[in-house]
Amino acid sequence: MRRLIALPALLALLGPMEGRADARLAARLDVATAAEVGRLVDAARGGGLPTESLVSKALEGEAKGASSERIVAAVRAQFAALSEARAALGMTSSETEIVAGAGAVLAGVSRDSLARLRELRPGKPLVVPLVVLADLVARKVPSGAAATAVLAVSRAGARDADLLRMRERVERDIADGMVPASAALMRARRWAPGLRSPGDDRPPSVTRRPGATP
Amino acid sequence: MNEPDEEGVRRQVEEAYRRSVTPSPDVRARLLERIGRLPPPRRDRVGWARFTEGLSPATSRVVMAASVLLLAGGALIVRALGPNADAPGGVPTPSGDAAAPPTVRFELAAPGAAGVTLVGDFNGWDRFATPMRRARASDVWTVSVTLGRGRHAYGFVVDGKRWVADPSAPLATVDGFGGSNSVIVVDGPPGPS
Repeated sequence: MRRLIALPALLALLGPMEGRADARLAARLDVATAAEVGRLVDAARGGGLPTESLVSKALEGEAKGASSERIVAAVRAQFAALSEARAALGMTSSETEIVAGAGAVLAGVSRDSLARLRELRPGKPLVVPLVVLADLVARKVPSGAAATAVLAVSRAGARDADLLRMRERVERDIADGMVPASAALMRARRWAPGLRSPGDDRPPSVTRRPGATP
Repeated sequence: MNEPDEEGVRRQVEEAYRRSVTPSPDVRARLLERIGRLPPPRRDRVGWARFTEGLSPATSRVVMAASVLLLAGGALIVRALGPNADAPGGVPTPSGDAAAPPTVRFELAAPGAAGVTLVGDFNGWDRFATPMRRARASDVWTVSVTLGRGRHAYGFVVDGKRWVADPSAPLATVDGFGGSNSVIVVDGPPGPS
């Protein structure tokens, strides 16, 4: 009998994280959804991606009453965003950075913007710039303008506290009625006076009249 | 000097041992009955058979399955405790300081609410895990929780069904379900950068 008691105790002590994750999924999701999410979690683990945010996304969907299809779609999107964020930020990125980067990717920030952010701050934590990026986009700043603003401010040597302050002022400007993109770029110009709007550096477009030969 | 006597004694003892003793019938019956009550002799089992000895076949199968899980878990633990477990691709990353995680106070003004809970990735998005308390004579609901370092998404649930973003949250993000979450970065900004 002691063996029967000792074995589960050992299993409980040594139980791996994925076992617990599966238990959480099984407790909150229907069998098919839990299995599908479990497959995605296993694939992420196999690829060396953080898995907790996938489990968390599924649980969030359940808590918000989302359908099974929507939950699986959200977890798939999170998986893809994690992969993209890690590819852009580099293999040395921390789990927190990859999750924050995935948030930015899901908000619509380009992979290129993430990679440039990493180049600007090599070896330094990127969580706050990434979260600020995602926040600006969530506040209706177009992703290109948000990336331009955050990259410019970072290039100018701003610290995390400066980025958070800039974001706060952009939020206030938007609440006061300013166009979100203008608000972000205006605040960024405090750090980078020569900053131009995204697209300013494109060559002027040529309008062809109907019938004109190229 | 004493050798002849000793030799005689030895022969007497040998003869006594060789002499057959026939027990009386009732003694023999009692002896057989007592032997019959003894447990069967133990076979010399080794390994798994010895470990599961005395267990029913069904229980034995359960124990075997549990042991397989244990071995699998052990292998994963060895992998998890290996070098650079947290670093994707096995590249070492700098670890944070060992300071205790901070306690964060959340509050929401919810006039007329009967109950408010804090829900986020830190409590598994469990709508019942972190109920908030109403401050006396006010509509402000508060709760303090200890959070690990990093980025956390959260929201409030009013009266068990209405999701509300934190109006005082410094950050927000889309949630993938048609809404948005509030975001807090604990220990952020993480020092000069």
